[in-house]
Amino acid sequence: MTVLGCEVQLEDNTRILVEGTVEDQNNIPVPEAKVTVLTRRGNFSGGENSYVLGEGFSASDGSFSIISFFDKDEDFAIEVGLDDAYTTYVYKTNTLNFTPLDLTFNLETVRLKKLANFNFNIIRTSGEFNTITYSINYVEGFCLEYYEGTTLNNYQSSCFEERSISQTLNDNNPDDQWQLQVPLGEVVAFTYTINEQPEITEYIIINDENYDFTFNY
Amino acid sequence: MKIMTLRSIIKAIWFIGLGLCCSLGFAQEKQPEGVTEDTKSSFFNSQERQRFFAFMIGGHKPFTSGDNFMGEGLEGKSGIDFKVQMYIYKHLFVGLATSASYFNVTNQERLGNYRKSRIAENYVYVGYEFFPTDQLRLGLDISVDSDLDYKNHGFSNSNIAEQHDSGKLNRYGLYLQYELTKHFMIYIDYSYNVSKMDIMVPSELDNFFSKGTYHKVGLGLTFSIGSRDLISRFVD
Repeated sequence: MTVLGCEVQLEDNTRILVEGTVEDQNNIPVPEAKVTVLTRRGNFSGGENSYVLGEGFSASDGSFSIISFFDKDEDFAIEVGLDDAYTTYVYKTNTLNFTPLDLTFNLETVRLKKLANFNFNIIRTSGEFNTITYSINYVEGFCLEYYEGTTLNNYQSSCFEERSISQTLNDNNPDDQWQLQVPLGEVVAFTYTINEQPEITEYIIINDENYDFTFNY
Repeated sequence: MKIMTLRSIIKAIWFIGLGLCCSLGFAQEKQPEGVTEDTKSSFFNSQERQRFFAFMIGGHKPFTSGDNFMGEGLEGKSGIDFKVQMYIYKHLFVGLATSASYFNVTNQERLGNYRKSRIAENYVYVGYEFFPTDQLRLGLDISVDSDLDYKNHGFSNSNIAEQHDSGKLNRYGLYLQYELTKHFMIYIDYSYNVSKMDIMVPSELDNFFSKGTYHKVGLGLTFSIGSRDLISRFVD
């Protein structure tokens, strides 16, 4: 094979099998989820320079079995996703020195959680000179698991991580709004203090696909 | 490495064969004395239609079949063939062939994320010719050694140029040639081809990838040189 600097060299005479089952957060099978085997994907949303080696879709019972080419690369990934209404799952590993047993990547149960739009508005109705400091703690709708061989590396993984947003609003910037994608059924913690009074925390269960929350202070 | 070796051998024998043709094919060839017209022609033997070398050039259409990666995932488009065969004794011949067959991928989920495949086939074969009528000759042949190179290409990202699979070919062929002149023929041929693949796959996919089957139906031209087989040149 011609060797060029930016070319990906697939392994000759080799095919791999990627299998597993896709379920949502209620253990309900997710059909039609797209399973993509790729290298040089990058992290999180994925890069434009990724190379697709194989792809397929989950069946009506959520199971998938995809035959793909294989590439020895430090950035080898299997991505499972459906659409913007569901979280994305990414399996990552370094295949330079790792070839799975029997050339099979068994992802077992892949959890794609249904997402909800959490529309957060905070509006000052109390007039000038009142301030608020708040934070929003929520679960990110994304899961990347990094494996060293067959062992999960938690340090390099980022699976349904807790994220936090903090802001202080005052006369310069009295109102604010956020739109966050949060797995349906998760709890968002809204913690605030008005005019440096004691902190108060409200727990919001995201039980609707479009959850609007408005807070006045 | 073995693939390269067989290709090199085939190329070398091609040139040697051409050299032999030039030196022997056009030389004066005497017919054995005492041979009458009656004894020369039968279904199994026709001394007057004996030849030394035959060269074939043609095209073919491949048809995949079977419950394997070719039958389930490839669709034949076209192909080209070059063959030379030397008659060892009477109408028993040994041949060298180099062919290419082109396919479209119809099932990427089962084969991988590519759109096209080209098989380069190099093989050695033996066979025998029969003579059903005055102007027809029927040949049967079988491959005895071979190499196959599958070049898989047409990936969604152009920076993946190609990927290769290799294997061995078991080929069973027949052809029918119509003699326009003594040394110029047109032919149609058919072959059943079984690729024994070297692909490493998970054990549950062994049956699917261990072999591929395809048929070929072809059409082409044949040129022949010489009127005596190899052995008779030394024996008679």
